[in-house]
Amino acid sequence: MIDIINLSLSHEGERVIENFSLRVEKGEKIALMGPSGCGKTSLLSAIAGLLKPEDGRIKLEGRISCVFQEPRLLPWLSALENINAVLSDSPPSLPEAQKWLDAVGLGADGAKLPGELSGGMQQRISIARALAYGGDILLLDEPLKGMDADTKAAVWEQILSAAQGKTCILVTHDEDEALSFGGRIYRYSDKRFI
Amino acid sequence: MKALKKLAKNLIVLIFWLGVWQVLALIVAKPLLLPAPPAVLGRIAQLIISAEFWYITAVSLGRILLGVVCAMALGVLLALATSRWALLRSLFSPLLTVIKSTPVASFIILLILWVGRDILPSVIVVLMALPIVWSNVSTGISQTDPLLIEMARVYRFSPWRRLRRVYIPSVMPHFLAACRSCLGLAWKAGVAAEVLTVPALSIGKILYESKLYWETLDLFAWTVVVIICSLIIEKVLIAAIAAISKSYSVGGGKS
Repeated sequence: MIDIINLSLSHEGERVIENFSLRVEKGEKIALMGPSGCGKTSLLSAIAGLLKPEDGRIKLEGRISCVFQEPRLLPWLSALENINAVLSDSPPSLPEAQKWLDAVGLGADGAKLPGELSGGMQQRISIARALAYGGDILLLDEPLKGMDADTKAAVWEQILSAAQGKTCILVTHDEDEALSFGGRIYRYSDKRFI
Repeated sequence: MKALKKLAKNLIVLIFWLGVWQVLALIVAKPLLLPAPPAVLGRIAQLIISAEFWYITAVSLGRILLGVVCAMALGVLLALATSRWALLRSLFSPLLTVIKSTPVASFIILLILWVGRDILPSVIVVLMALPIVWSNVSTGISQTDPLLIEMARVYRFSPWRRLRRVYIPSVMPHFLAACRSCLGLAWKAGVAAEVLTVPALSIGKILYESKLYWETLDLFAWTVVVIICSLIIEKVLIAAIAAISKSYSVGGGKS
C-alpha cells in the first residue's frame, strides 16, 4: 500500500506537484502520464525515499524495487553479478539471478560487463534486477525506453507477469503501455495527477 | 608478444641512458665526481654478497613501508570521516594544508626533538604520504556516482555491501593513483630523513657517510639500490592492492 498525503514537490527549483494526495491499495496498479519535467520521476523518487517532500508525507507498506529511467548498473560487475548484488550477493543465489536474466532474454550475456552491452540491453538487466529483488512495491520509470518493438513486447510480458499481486506505479509517455498495464491511469494537470 | 615488445623497449631506453651516463663519465674523467656505470655496477655486485647490505636494506625498507602502510590506513580513515562529517572536514583541512606546505626538513628537525631517530623516518613518510592518500580517497568518495548510491539505497544494500559493491570499486582508481604517488615520495622523504637523523642501521646513514668521506661510488651504488627497491615495491604493492580490490568487487567475493 502507498498513501500519499498532501504532497508538494519541486523539480529544478520549480514547484511541480502541489498538495497532491493518492492512495494505491495493496496489489493495485496505476500509471502516471504527463509531459517531461512535470514531476513524474520526482514523485517516484519521493516514494522510493530518495527525495524529501517539501510538504506532506508518504506512507508505505512493504519493500520497494525500482526500474529507474537509467539502468544504474554497477559498471564493475557483470550482468549476472549486477542482479545477484540485490539478492543475497553470494554465489548460491547466482542460479536465481540467471533465471531472471533468462527471463529478459539475456541469458547468454551474464558474464558481460554493462559497458559491453547496448543501452537497451542494460535496461533489460535493470528490469531483471528489479524483478529478481521481488519487493512488494514495484516502481517503473519508463522501463521500456530505448528498446526495439520486439524486445519491448517480450520484456513487457515479463513485467506484467512479475507485477501480478504487487503494488505498482508506472511512469510512461506511451498511452498503449498505460492502458495495457491494467490499472487506473492518472494524467498530469495543474500540479497534480488526476 | 606485447610484454616482450615492452620489455625490449624498456631495455633500449635503459641502455640509452646508461650510454649517456658512460659518455658523461668519460668526459668528466674524475670518478670521484662521476663514477662510470661499470664501476657502480661492480660496487653493487660487491655489496649484494654481504649480509650487512641485505640487513641495512631490509631495515630501511621496513621503516619506510611502515610509514606507507600507516599513511594509507590513516589517510583512508581520515577521508571516510571527513567525507561523512563536514565538521571534521573543516577541522582537518587546514591541518593538512599546513602539512603539505611545510618543508620536509622543518619536520625532520622538529620531530628529532620529539621522537626517536629510529622511528623518525617512518613518521616523516606518514606526514608526506598522508595528505596524498587523504585527498585522493576523498575525491574518489565525492565522485562516486550518486545514481548508484541511490540504487543501493532503494535495494537496501547493507553498509558493508554498499562499501564493497559501490564505494570501494569507485574509490580504488583514486587510491591506486595515491599509492603510486606516495610510494615514490615515501622513498625520497624516508631516505632524506635517514640522512639527516642517521639511525644506526639505514641506507641514509651510508649515504651520509659517503658524503662525509667522499665515497661517491658508494653514493651512486646505494642510490641505484634505492631506485630499484622503489620500483619493486611500487609494482608489488600496486599489484597486491589491485588484486585485493578485484576480489572485493567482481565476482567471487565474500558478502
